[in-house]
Amino acid sequence: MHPFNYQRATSPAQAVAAVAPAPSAAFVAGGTSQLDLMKEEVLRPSLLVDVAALPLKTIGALAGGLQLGAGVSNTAAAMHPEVLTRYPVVSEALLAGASTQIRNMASLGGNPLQRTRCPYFRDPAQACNKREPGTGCAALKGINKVHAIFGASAACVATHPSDLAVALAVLDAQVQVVGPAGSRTIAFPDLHRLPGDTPQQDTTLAHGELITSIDLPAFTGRSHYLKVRERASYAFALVSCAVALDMDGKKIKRARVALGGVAHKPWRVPAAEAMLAGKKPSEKLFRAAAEVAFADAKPLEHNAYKIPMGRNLLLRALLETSGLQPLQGPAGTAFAASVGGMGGE
Amino acid sequence: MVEVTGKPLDRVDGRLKVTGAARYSAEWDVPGLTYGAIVSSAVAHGTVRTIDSAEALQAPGVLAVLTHENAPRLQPFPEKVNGSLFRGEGGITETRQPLQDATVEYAGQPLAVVVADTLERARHAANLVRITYEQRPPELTIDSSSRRTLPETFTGNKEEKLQVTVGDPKAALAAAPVKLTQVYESGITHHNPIEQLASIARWETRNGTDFLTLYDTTRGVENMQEVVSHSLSLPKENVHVVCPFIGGAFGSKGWLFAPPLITVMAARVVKRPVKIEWRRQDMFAVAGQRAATRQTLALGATRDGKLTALQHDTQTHASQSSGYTEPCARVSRMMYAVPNLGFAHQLSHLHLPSPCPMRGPGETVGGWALECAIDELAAELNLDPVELRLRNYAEQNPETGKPWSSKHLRECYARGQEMIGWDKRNPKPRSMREGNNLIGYGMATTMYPAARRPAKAKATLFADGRALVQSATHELGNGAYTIFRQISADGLGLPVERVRFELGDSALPAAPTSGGSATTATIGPAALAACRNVLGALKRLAIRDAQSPLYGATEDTVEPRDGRLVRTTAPTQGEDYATILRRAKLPSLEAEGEAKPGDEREKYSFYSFGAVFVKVRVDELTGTIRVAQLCAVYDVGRLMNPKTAHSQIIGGVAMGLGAALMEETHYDPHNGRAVVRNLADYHVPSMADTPNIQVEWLNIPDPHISELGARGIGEIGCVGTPAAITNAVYHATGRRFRSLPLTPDKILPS
Amino acid sequence: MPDESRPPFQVGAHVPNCLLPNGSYLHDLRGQPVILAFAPDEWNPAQAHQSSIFAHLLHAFDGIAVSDDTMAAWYSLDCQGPVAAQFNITDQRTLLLLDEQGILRWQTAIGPGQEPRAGQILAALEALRPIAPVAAREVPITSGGLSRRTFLAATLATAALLLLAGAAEAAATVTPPKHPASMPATPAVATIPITLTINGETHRLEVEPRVALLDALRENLHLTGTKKGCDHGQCGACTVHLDGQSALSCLTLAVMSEGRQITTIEGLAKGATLHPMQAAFVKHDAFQCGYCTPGQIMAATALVQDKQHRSAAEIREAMSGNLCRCAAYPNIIAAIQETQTA
Repeated sequence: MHPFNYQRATSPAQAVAAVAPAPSAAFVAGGTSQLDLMKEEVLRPSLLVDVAALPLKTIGALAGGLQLGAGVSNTAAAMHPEVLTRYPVVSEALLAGASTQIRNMASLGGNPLQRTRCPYFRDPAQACNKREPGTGCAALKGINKVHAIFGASAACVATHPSDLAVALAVLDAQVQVVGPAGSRTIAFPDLHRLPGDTPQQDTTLAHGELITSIDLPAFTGRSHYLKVRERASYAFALVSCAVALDMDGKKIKRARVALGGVAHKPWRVPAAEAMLAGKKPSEKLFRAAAEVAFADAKPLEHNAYKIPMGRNLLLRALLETSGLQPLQGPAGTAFAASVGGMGGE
Repeated sequence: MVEVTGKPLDRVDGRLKVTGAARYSAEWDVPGLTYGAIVSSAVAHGTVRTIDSAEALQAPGVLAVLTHENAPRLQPFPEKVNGSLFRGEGGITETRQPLQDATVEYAGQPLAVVVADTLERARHAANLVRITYEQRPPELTIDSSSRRTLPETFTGNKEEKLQVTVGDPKAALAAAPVKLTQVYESGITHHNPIEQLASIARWETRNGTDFLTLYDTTRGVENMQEVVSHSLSLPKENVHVVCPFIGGAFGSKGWLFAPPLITVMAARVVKRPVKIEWRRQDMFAVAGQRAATRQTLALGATRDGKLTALQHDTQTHASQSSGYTEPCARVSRMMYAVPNLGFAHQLSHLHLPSPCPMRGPGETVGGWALECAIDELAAELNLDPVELRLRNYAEQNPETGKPWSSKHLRECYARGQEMIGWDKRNPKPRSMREGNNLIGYGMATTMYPAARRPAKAKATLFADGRALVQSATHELGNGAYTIFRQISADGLGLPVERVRFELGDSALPAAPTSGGSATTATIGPAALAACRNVLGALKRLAIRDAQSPLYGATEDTVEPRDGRLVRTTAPTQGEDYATILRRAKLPSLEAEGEAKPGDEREKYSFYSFGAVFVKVRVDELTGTIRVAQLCAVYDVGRLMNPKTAHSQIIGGVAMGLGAALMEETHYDPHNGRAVVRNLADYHVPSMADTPNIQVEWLNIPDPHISELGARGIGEIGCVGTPAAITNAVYHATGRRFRSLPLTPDKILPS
Repeated sequence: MPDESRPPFQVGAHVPNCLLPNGSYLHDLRGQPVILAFAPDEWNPAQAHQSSIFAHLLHAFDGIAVSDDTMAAWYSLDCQGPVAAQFNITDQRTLLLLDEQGILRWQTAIGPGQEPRAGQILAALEALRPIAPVAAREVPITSGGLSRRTFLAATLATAALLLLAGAAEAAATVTPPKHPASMPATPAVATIPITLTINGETHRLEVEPRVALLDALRENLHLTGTKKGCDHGQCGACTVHLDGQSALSCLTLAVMSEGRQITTIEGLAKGATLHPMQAAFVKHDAFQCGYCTPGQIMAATALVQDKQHRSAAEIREAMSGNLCRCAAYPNIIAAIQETQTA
């Protein structure tokens, strides 16, 4: 690890004041993603400002919705009764991610900010525009099995690894931020960006901006998360899918669908959503929506499988969310989210 | 006294392991310890043009930077070590000595080591060493290799030729009424024991000469002592290798010597003890791997399912400095009664890290290809897969013609079928479904060669009635501390609590590298010999002692019974061991013992057998496969301890499950760097993947292998499992998959 | 047969294995320095000069309040007993210091009328560490015994002990430390003094901010029960409890652990009594090589704290962050099932 200085923040404002003036300073909360990358010297902060002890650890009601403090652990959020019952997609995404230990450590604010799992990003000896702008993208012609099929650029084909972010993308969540220029609110779909020519920037956060809470608006519909991975647990998604359906009697009033593991950010599919709105759930409808969702996918050499996998997954997520097919486990648990289930009977 | 061998004793090192007190190689509290960190090659092929340590040397706490320009010189790697071929085509290991020249043969090759006073300082300073290269294009695939060879033997063993023809397989194939030729491919896999490679080297001067103590994660203290002393031109006795606990090996930690040699050189230069704990990332370059294979299986058979020809040709790869050849025909050469049998192995030398044995070397992936091909033939002939195997049941070894030492495979097939409910399945492929899942049943035969090697042991009786038995073997999770204590307790006629077994130290009586599922058959008889010898010495002491009730008896009329020596004809006349020693004013009495295989090896063919039955769920639309049920029955001779044996077997089975479904290391096709280089991307089975594996064994002693009747169990679980799973996936989906691992991307119909 | 005329072992020699009075073997203690004190087994008022040097040393160390568990690394042996015979010591009051590999590093005979000095032993222990530790390194004398004591503290107390012991030291055979002449100086870098509460005990350390809790435990405090399997949060071997919850010590900075209750595998057993989970792991053979085991047990004990009954599937999911390459998984599940509602 590159040597760095360490401070404990006393308030969000003080944390911002400490990080903002130093271009290589960073916040740290759970540290689960950061320390991993600091050990590889992919990240080399000069100063870490520890925000773990800040009073951002509450979950409270907010205008019919919920305000999730940025310092709440992934475990605490996933197990919170209001989250479990009203936003099962959040619990399912959290519990289908990482491990018990990591969920205990990782914060809600940090989770959506984790960096890509692209192996080329994580190996300092490989060319990577995200890690070292201008060095090129070795993944483009390398082993790109886990890479993007949507929204990639010639500079970067990485995907975003967070499960939670995919769930938040279908809930119209809002991110509250404090920064050197004051506080602001970011609509969740605007938090992450596509790589374009500047893949080094994952998000639209300015340097020194600190997430203080993630706000979930009121939601009375059905929501659900599904995840495919190469191992039954403790693995990143090959493809995942979050669905939120607002129902109007037997019809879908509004559908929101996001895909994970396929792009540099949680990938909303507006065309599919539009197709679903106002319709009665049916397998035929869902099949058509899944088809539309992947119409403009652009696979690389090793990841074309994500197209049929994603289509099938989206179809199943819609069937399960709408109730046309049963969930594979109790709502709000990893069992509901984990495609394929576990080994054993 | 009732024998304790064969009883399900709790592990005697259990308490140490569950309290964190078992001491692994990175954990010795050596005074004055410093830390080494490795700088490895960014490129796969070329030469180091410049290597600049200046900045690293300026960094806080840095004591030294060793590169090929300033590292101590090492002798060339030995040709053979303790009888095994190390060098050359078919040789077992990488013979490149580290930090001796500027040549780069694979990405991740160690090029420098930085030593500093703390781990963090060493690791950071390693990133400050600047290296420039003269790069050349790497050869990274079997087909692109410009250096291909046909190794004659596996590790120099004349009994194990790699290019063999029995009968005329070519003609027999041409004439066969039913023919099948298929190509099977398997990817590179890594052992990934949870304990990373680590060494601590400590130099000192003893009696005016250099003496080295090396704590290392090795399952071969004798080989390590030999290679290190040879490399440094030291007398063997001046190198002491210690390793009482290994955190798993599975084929690694035995055959690659660069990591400890680098530690040893670093400690020599800084004149302080040095510890190097290799990072998980490094282990994808220096710890060995199972090479990828491409295997062509050609089967010829009659219409009623009698095999007439079997040709098994393998293409695989090694590094530039290793000739290790994955011996994929190990199962094909012995499993079925086939008159015309041929196999060949072609080795491509690549700019990739060196391979080495991995659990079931050859058997795991070679057996997979064979057992999948047999399954395909069964489908072709419309025969039950078990029935086809029974029709070709080998009553003796088809390659050598020797009878088996002991073989009860038919019972394994029968019991396995019962356990899984084989007859209840619908044999028609793609006929069973539950919800999102297709259901499939599959089976495969498994085997493992039952090796035995020479070894020594020492037994010591103490005057307080306790005993100690020692041999330089290893505890790598195999239960060595436990089962050799059980065997020794019976050998000495003492309660198991009063006997203790020690291992993992080159100063102990010689024992081979722990591997090849040979440890029980090798060390057990040596321990028994030492026990007999020390009891013989004790008898002599007693019968010459006028105060002993055994005075005047002859050795053959005295026998051990319940911790006492007694007259065979009058068992009430006798005394316990401690009394004899105390009266002789001896604190202890010791004797060595030696055991080795004899001419039984000329007469018989020694193998373990088994059958694996699997039920899988295949969620075809997402490509995910889960093993719902796994039942396996083994004929492995007599079990020494059913409790530890059960664990070892299920561990092997789970590793086979990993090989079947998820384990693979990719290297970048252009620059040769490992793209999978951590445990998040290299998927070993997690608890969620592993079903409650049901294992049974026949427990029929092998009458010929040794007086213990035990064959090895370390690897047989891993063999067979991948084929059983692959065959079950065929039954579920009606589609054949001929490339390991069966990851979702391959299963999804396009 | 022992040779009566064989001289005592030379400094630098490997000492033989032997049985200690508590029933353990000397080789069990490898990995930590061990002090063997030979004196007649029984106190005899008629031979006051032959009274147990062990008792005397206990008294001397009492002066610096070394805790009771110190004694695990000390052995009092009869100088006429079988161990003495193996060491070729006969009737002589003798102190031996063995290093972590069981090599004799220092020995001294205590003549009639002399008393042993704790300071001698401390000096010999210090000589085992030829290089002054960097400030960040808290150096325990043993893992099983003096682990709560820092060697630094012990060294500081040496002067006081010498006073306590009174007269001039008997001629000690301590080997002077050997410093390589060309050793470069270690420039000062910013370290932070921190206090960690581990298994209920307080440890003061000076560490760079970049030191992971895992490395602070293993390298600085020599609490090596917590294992390093990947160093990147991908295997679970380094699992500890932070404030009662399972957490990965490899992805936790030591400086961030201040003020939290840290529990490691060393803190589970109550003396000789294993924690029920540890006992269940032994009973169900829930490990083979044992390397992932401390992490498995820490994860499992954290899991069962809520006393809920979990199905095998729920245990599988909750424990999947702890990889076991030996795949003792079915046995781990059995151990947890037995323990979870107990």
